[in-house]
Amino acid sequence: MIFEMKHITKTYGKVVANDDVSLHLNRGEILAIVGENGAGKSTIMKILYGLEKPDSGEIVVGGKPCRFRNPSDAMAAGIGMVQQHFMLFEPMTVAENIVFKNEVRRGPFIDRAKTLETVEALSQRYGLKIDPGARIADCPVGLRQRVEILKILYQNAEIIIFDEPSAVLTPLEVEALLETLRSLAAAGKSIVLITHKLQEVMAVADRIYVMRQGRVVAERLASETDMNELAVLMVGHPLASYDIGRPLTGETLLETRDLCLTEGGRDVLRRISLHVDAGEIVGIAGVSGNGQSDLVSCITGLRSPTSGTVTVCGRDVTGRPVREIRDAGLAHIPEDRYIWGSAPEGTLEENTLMGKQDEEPFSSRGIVSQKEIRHYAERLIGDFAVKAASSQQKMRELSGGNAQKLIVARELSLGTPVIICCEPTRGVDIGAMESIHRRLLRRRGEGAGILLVSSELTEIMNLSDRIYVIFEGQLVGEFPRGSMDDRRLGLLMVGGTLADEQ
Amino acid sequence: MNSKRDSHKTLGRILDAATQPLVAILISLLLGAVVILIIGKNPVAAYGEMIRGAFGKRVYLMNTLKRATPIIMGGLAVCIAWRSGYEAMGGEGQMILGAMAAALAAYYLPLPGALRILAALLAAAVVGALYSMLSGWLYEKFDVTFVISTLMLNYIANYFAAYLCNYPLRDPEANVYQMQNAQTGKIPSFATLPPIIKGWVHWGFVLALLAVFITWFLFSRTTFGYKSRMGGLNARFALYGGISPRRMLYLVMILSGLMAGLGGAFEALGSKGRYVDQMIFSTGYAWSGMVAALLAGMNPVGTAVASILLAGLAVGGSTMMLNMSIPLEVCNIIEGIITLLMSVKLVRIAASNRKARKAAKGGEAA
Repeated sequence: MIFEMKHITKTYGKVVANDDVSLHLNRGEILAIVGENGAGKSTIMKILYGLEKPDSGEIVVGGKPCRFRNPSDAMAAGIGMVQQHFMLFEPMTVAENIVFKNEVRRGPFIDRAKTLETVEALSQRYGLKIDPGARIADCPVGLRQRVEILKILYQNAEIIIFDEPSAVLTPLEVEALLETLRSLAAAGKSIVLITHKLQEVMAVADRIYVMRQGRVVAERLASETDMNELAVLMVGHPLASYDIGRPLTGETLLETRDLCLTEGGRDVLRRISLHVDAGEIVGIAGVSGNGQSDLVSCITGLRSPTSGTVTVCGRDVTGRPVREIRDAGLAHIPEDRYIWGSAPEGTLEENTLMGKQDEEPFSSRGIVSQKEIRHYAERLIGDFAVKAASSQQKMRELSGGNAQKLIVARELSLGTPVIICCEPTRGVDIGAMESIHRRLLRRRGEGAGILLVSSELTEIMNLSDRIYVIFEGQLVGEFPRGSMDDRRLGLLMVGGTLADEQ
Repeated sequence: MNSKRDSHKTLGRILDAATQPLVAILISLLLGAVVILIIGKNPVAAYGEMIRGAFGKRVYLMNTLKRATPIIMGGLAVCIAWRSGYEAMGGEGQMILGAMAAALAAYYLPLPGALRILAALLAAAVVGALYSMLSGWLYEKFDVTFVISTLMLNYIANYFAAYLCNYPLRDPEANVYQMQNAQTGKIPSFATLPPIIKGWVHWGFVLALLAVFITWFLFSRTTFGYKSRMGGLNARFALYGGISPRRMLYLVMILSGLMAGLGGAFEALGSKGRYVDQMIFSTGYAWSGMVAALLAGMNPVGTAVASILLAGLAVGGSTMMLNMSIPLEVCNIIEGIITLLMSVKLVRIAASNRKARKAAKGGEAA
C-alpha cells in the first residue's frame, strides 16, 4: 500500500464534498475513481495533492501520516498531478518545460546539452516519445500531455494523478495515453485516474472506486465488474439507451453554400455546403481542429466568411452581426463554456439572461426587471436540475457539468428553430450528459434543426440523423444514420478514403 | 428569514469588498505617520488637525465638498469605462477640455441666465464625450491601447488649453505684467454655478451627486449596465450573446467622457469662474477620481464617498500644513500609497485574468 486516505471529510459551506471517504492505492496499480460531476472525486484528489485541506481525516503516504500545505509538499512526498489544463510555457521547448524549477546546471548556468540528454533518457526509460527540442507551441495536445507526465516523472513522482486526462484528446491520442498509463504502471508507478469515461476505465484500471454524492459507494476490481454495473453505481439508476426514432424532417432551416474562410493565406474552410432540416440532428464528425470551430464561428456571426452564404430560416445572414443571426432564429451552445459561453465572474442570473436582455419581460425601454430575471434564472436552474445554491452565486462556483447544463438550458430555452450545438457534453458526467441529450432530442421532436459538432464520435453516432465528416476544412462525406460504423468514420476523419479500407 | 439571510450576505459582500480599501487606507496612514514622526511632529495631533481641517467646521467641510465635486465626476468616468473592461485614463484631458469649453461658452455665448449655464454644461459634456470617443476610435481602428492613447491625449488637452488661455482667448482684462497663471475671461456671475445657500458648496456638488445616482441606476437597472458589465467580465461572451462590442465601446466612451467633461465644467463654473491655466492638471482631480473609483471597486456610491475622503485629505492637509508646519507633500504620500496599494490589486487581477485566459486557451486548443 503506497498511500491511504482515512475518513476524509471536506465541506464547503453547507455542501459536503467528501463525506468520510477512505481509500488506498497499491504500488504499481492503476486505480480509477469514477463518479458524476460533483460526486467529490476532484475534491479528494485536490486534498491528496495539497490544493485543499480536509476538515478531518488522515493521509498516510509510505506508512507515515502526512499533512500537505501545498502541491510542493505533495510533490516532495512523490505525488504528482496531471491537470486538465496544462501548465506549460508555450514559447519554450519541451525539455525546458520538463526541467523547469529543477534545471540541470553547470555552475550558475543552465547546461543545455545535459538537459537534452537527461530528458531524452527520461523519455526512453518510460517509452514516452517526444522531441526534446520542439517548442510547446508547435506540439499538439496529446504531446503536451506527455510533456506534463514527463515533468512529473522528472521530479521522481511515485504516484501520478490524472484528472480527466482524455477530455482534451483525439481518439488516437486517447489510445496512446492508455498505453502510457499501462507502461507507467508496469514501470512500478502508481496511477490514480479520475474520469467518467467508463470505456477507458475498463481498458486500463485494476481497481475502481465509485463515488456518488461525496461518498465512496462501491469498490470493485476491474475483473469483477463491467461498464453497465459501474454506470448504474455512478448515477444510482439504470441508463436509458437511445432509440431516437425516425426523424420528422421538414423544410430546410439552416443552409450554408460554398462557405469559405481564408486566414493568413490558409484555407480554413473550403466550400462547405450543408443543410439542416426541421426535426433532424445533423452531426459533424471530425478530429478537432479541422475547421469545426471556424465553421460554427462563420454560421453564428462570430466571424465573417470569406465567401459563400449562410441562410437561417430562409434569411441570408452571411456576415451579419450576432444579434441579427440570433434574431433570425438561432441558438448556440458554444464549444467552450468559459471562453465563449459564460462570464465566470458574473452571477447565474446574469449568465442566464444573455441573449434575452433586450426582450420583454426582462427589460422594457432599456430598464431591466430584476424580478423577472431572477424568476427566469430560478426556473431554468430548476427545470434543468442545475445544482446551485442561489441564482445570485457566481458562475465559476458551479461545477463544470452544472455550468454546462445552465448554458444548454439558456440556449434551448430560447426556443429557436435552429440550434448550433458544440461539444454539448464535454467534461460532463453521465447523468448530465444523458439529460442534455434528452433535451436535444426533445427539441428535435418539436421540429428544431440541430447541428451537432462533437469530438466524441459515439455522441455523434448516437444522436445524429445524418452525419457529415469534416477533414482539413472540407466536408469529405455525408451519411444517413446507421450506414456507417465508427471504424470507417474514423478513417475518413483522419483523411483516409473508404477505398483505403482494404 | 430568507431576506434576512440575503441582507446578511449583502453585508458580508460589502465587508469583503471593503477589506482591501480599508487596509490600503490604514497602511498609508501608518506610513504617513512614520513620515510625520521623521520630521519630528506628533502624528496623532497632525491627523487630528487634518480631520478638523477637512470636516471640523462648515467652511472646511464646504471646501472639502467643493474639491470633491470634480473628483467624484472623474471617479464616475473611471467607473463607467473600467467596469466595461476599457482601462481608459483620459479623465484628465476630458476634464480640461470640458472646463475650457464651459468657461468659454459661459463667457462668450450671448444667452440669458440659466440658459447660458445649460449651454456651458452641454458644451462641456459634448467636448468631453468627443475627446473620449477619440481614444475609443484609436483603439478600434488602430489597436492603440487605452493607457497610451489616453495618457498622451491628456497632455495634448492640457497644452492646447494652455495655448488658448495664454494667447487667443486670454482674459482681455488681465494685467499682462501680473505674475499669475494665464486665464480666460471672468464669467458673469449669473452664468456661474452659485452656492446652494450662501456660504455653502456650489450647485455642481449637487449635480455630481445626481450623476452618482444616474450612474448607479445605469449600472444596476438598465440593459446598458448589464451589457457593459458582461463586456467587462468576458468580452467574448458578450459578443457571443449578440451584444455589439463596437456600439458598447462608443457608448461607454461617450458616457465616461461626458462625466469627466462635466466635472471640468463644475470646477470652472462653480469654483474658479473661468478657465485658469493648469487648473485641472496641477490639482490632479482626475487621478484622485481614479483612486476613489479603485477604492470603491467601481461602485458609483462608494466612489462618491471615497472622493469626499480624498478631498478631505487634501483640504485637511493644507490646514495641517498651516497649523503644524508639516509639508503638504505628506498628503501626497498618503494618496500615493493608497494608489499603489490599490493598483497592486489591479495588477493581480489583470495577472490572474491573463493566467485564466491562457489556461482556458490550452483547453480551447484541444
